[in-house]
Amino acid sequence: MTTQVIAVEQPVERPVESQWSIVRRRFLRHRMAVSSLILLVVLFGASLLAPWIAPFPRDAIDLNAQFLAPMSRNPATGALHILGTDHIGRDLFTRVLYSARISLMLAVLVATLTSVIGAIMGLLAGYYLGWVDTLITRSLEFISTFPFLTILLILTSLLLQSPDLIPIPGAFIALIQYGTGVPGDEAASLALIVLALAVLSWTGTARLMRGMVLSVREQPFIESARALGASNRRIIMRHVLPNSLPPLIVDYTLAINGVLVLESALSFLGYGVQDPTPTWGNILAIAESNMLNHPWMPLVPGIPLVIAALAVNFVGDGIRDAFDPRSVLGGAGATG
Amino acid sequence: MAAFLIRRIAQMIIVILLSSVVSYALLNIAPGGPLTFLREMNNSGRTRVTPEDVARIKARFELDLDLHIRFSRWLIGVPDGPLVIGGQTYLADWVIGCKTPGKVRLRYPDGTTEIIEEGCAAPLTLQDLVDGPPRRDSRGILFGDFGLSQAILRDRPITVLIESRLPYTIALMGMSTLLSILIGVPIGVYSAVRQYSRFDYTMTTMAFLGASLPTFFVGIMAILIFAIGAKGAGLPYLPPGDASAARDYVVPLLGTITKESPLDYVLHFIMPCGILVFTSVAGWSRFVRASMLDVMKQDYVRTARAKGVRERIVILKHALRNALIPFITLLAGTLPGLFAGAIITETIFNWPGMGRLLIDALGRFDYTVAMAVLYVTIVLTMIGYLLSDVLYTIVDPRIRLN
Repeated sequence: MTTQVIAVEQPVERPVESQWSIVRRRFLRHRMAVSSLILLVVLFGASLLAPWIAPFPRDAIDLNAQFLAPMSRNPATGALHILGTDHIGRDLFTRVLYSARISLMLAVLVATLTSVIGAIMGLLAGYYLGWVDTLITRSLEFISTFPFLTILLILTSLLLQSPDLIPIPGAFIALIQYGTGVPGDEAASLALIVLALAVLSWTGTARLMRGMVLSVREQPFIESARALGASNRRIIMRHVLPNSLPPLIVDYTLAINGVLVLESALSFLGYGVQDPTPTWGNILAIAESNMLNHPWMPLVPGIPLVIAALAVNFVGDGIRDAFDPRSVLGGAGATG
Repeated sequence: MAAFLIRRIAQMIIVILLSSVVSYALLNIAPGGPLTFLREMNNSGRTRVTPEDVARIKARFELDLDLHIRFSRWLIGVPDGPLVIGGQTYLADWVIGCKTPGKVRLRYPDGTTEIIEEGCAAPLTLQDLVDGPPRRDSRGILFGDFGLSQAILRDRPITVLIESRLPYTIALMGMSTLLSILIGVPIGVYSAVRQYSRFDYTMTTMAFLGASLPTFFVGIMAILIFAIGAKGAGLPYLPPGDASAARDYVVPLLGTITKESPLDYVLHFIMPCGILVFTSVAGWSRFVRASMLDVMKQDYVRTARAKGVRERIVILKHALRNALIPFITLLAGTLPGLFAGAIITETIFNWPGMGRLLIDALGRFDYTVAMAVLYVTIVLTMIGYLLSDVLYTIVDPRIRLN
């Protein structure tokens, strides 16, 4: 072959970058968010390994070793209690470690459930309008008139009193048991708290989603999809949902933080996770009632809680900035 | 305006009625009712409970009435007897409940028997409300009669309980809201005027911390530092809890504090109030900042500047006044909080207010008290919404309600 190919000027290769890779790139530039994410992964990973790395069994009571200060040794056995012991001699390092998994898992579960319920409600209301919209909007307005913490406390206290009131599917309890790694009977009461939190907090997501759908559904590409004969189901799943996803994801990460703090507040007040099951909130409640004599105690569960809450917030901040093309990177989160 | 008000009030009444149905439903599924207790006593065999006892206790808690009658008596206090119009009584023998339930003995194939309650042996009529065992006449929760407290103040009206706690909550919430507005608004305005300055960044970070730190941890840290730590170091310290001291105490530099003296109250007030201000000032300042930034971009602000109005006047008179309009919604939103109190803060500092009352009530299974707190908060929320709508039209004449 001797034909000379005339050198056609090569077209300029422009890398086509999908929205997701842009988002990933922008997120990775947010240093606080990335380090917070790594921190959370390490914390969660450590708590997954708790049965192997924790020095004591989770609920091992030792009445000879009450209120031991951090880094002190058990008077009888000489075993080291890294973060001390509580009022009945349980090792706090062990319990704080186990709590990380329970608290983080509950936060993720509730946030997921809330987002799914909220997104479905918002999609239905925003897409179908008419009586569906009226019904959903009215009911979320109604739920919003309830003072949140008050009704939540009353609800969880009632549910914890009579656990048989609401039949919970076994699969759901199994999911919680698997996720948090607690025994079955404890998982059942965790399930009640998850449900109470989810039922009361979907309204914000629904409102957000409805707003998004209302603006997306007027776009020309929805009209053309409809003109091509696409079914409602297809339009919702293929066009409306993906286009309203970014704010939903941001909302989701913020919800995780909200639930993390809310669950610990509930457990702190005594109407969340109940005692043998450890969470940062209920360890803090025990610490609070003994802190006049043992001032170090509240710091043991408090510091991990604050670090986790800040870390989740930073990650949320990073994700929001990554999705928002107008945001200047290195703003609020980076200086904090 | 009148038409709008009427429609809004009608909506409000519907929501309030619906919430009372929800409250009442919650109240009825509440465990630990008096009859559960009786049945347990009976089953344990230690104390014999006669049918008369059961009937009396049922009448006392109105459990012998039909659910809808009970609800109506709880809500509006009627019916409280037969209808009397012009000396004539009507509906005297309208059956509204059951004095003693019928008993049916079930015999199972394996020879065991069981007595279950079925049907009604002696029906209860409207006249029996007057003739029968004495009942408490309620004006109904809609008219401010919340019934009796079952555990916290045994058999005293809940109204008394609320009246004793309300001043503490109003003092705490009122003062802290006022202070956080007084601090938050100037910070917000300054942050907006000097956007992206060092001050703005610092305040943004503070707001971020204030929003992500759990209140209860901030409160506990405050007690650790200002009460326990300061006392241990021999510095002037703040009392860690309660609204006043039970006995006199000595604080360095301040000398002996007499119990229940004004200074004693002030010292107890500082920490809970300070925590509430710390956690809410961020929210106010962020809100004012966003609102100010929005307004500063408006044409009339540019026009004012172009006319040569001094910057100070532009900010305070043209921008701030308009930026504060959305503020009113938030302000009306604090009304229910004023009543319900800050549950977490009050619990940490053992502050004898409404939030603490709710936690106490739940802890002692006094669900009627918990429902009263919930109910009043809902009513106040609705009033708050209405107020903010009305205030909007007054402050911003551009808004027409119809």
